Amino acid sequence: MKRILKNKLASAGLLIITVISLFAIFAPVITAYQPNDINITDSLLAPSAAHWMGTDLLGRDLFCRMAYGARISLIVGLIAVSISVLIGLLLGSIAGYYSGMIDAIIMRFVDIMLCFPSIFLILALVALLEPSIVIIMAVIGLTSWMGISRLVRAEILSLKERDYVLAARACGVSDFKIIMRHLIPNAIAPVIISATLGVAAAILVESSLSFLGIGVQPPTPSWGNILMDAKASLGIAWWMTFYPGLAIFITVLGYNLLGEGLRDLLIPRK
Amino acid sequence: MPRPVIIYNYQKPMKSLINGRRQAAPLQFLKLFELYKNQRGNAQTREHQSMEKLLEVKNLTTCFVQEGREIPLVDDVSFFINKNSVLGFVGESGCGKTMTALSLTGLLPGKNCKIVSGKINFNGQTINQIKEKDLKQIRGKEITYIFQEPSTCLNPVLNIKEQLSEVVQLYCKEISPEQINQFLIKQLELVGIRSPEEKLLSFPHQLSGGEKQRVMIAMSMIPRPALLIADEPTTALDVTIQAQILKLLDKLRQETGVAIMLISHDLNVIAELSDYIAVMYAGQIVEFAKAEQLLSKPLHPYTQGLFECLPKKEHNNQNKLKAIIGEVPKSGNFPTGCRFHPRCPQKFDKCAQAMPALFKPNPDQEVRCWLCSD
Repeated sequence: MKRILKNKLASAGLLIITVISLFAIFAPVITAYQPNDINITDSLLAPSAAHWMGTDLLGRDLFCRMAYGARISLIVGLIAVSISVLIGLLLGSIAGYYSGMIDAIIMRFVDIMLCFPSIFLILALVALLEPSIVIIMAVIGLTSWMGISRLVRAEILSLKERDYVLAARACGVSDFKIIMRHLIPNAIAPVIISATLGVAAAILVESSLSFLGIGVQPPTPSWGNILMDAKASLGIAWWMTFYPGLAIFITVLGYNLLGEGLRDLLIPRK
Repeated sequence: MPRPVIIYNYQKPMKSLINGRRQAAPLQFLKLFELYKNQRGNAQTREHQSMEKLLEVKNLTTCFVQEGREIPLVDDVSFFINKNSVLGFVGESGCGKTMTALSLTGLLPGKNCKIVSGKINFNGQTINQIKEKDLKQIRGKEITYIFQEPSTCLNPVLNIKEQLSEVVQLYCKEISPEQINQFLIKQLELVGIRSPEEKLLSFPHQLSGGEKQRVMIAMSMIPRPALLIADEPTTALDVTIQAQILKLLDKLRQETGVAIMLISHDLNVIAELSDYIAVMYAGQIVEFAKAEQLLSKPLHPYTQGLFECLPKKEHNNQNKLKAIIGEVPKSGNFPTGCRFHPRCPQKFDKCAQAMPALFKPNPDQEVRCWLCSD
């Protein structure tokens, strides 16, 4: 932890992420309103002391919607990345450990998945199944595991030849245990970096989908959702586009900084 | 007991007659053998235990198959190990010692290396053709292996307790998780590690080389194997630690009844510990004899050359070290006939024509040399 704090990039990223996470966690505490308190008389008020970020078309307090939206964005980002890491670790380690035909098949599958433009794939999947938070998380996870599986496979191909793996095989440890206890913990460094950067990407994808209307459905607030609502009042209410855009920008920046900082820390360069 | 100072007493001039036999007398090794003999258990226990064969290898051939060509790495190797005794394997780097040991346990690297022919008989059971599932019952449990580089043989992200617990969970299932700590402390004390409670929770990079090798030995001894294959266990360690590790191996042999197959390129190490010695060259066994026999009267010119190569005290003023001329042939490029004959000081015309079989000039010694064929 000390090393993370010493690295400027990583600590800046960590700071941003902590602030946004606190913002999301303590959403009900820091806001006086509810995200769906419709109050037409207060529609499109500029930011003031009563409404820190103004209100939207239906009079809902924007600060409150942003806070609850932060929850959605962060949860979607983290869980989608968790799904992709799990799938990537599984397939990558199997491909790397049992090289040969299995490796070839899995890598061709990865190549095929990489050929699909992910946005269209996600659009198609969401169109088939109804858009909900769970579907979004699953779909983003299922379309972003390929990079991680390649990383894991590359690491395991080289780690497989280490002496402690041979010693474990000589002692009769099963393949599964070797992969889980010896190979994956030693191969996890690039995965952590890729996962951190992946959260940023997942948040962007989720926001894009919500903006297009096929992500998180209204009235549940999400930053992309708010931007979609802002389209109608683009010239009149600058606060409706500014704040969600700023929030997305800062969050993605934070995760990218943390990822870059971790890359400096975890990948040793002589 | 302190290590004796090596004094090489005499050297008879080389006879290069066609059927002459060189009487090299590597007395230093014999002295070493005798001096340590008393530490290695009394004569009674060593005599009666060594008659039962634990492992018998007959005509083992391991090849590296590439594009249809078979390159033999281990060629027609036969030896045996008796219960509770030590077999020493000597040879230069690249002569096939490690490949032999890996073939015994089925740990050959890659898919292209395989045992092509031969029979490996362990405790009455033939193990070269059995399925992987049955081999796993033997490997790790009855036959264990320790490697040359202890620093790379331990997982750097796991502490010692986790690594040893893995083996305990596999083979000592009756020990419950609460008792594992006590059990592991006892195992570490058995191999001579001081303050085992602290060492259990430390990581490999916090231990010294000797301690790491002791941990590896402890890991191999947990299932109380019948045979321990030690592949150059002391090569990566310095000499004082080397002596300690060898003493430890001998102590384990006495206390637990394990047989040891000791592979090394250092003759001192082999002489100190072995009951039988096998000398390998270019994938073949060129001499296999009881230790006393080989150390007092080596018959193969390669073995004699090895003993000659060591620097001697009375040659202080002479600048040139003796060496065996030439270099080890690469696999696939072996000379016709005897593989050693281009470098042999005693070769004659039959050596280039035909490969010598293993002849038995006396019951305890086998030599692959035409000089001993009569």
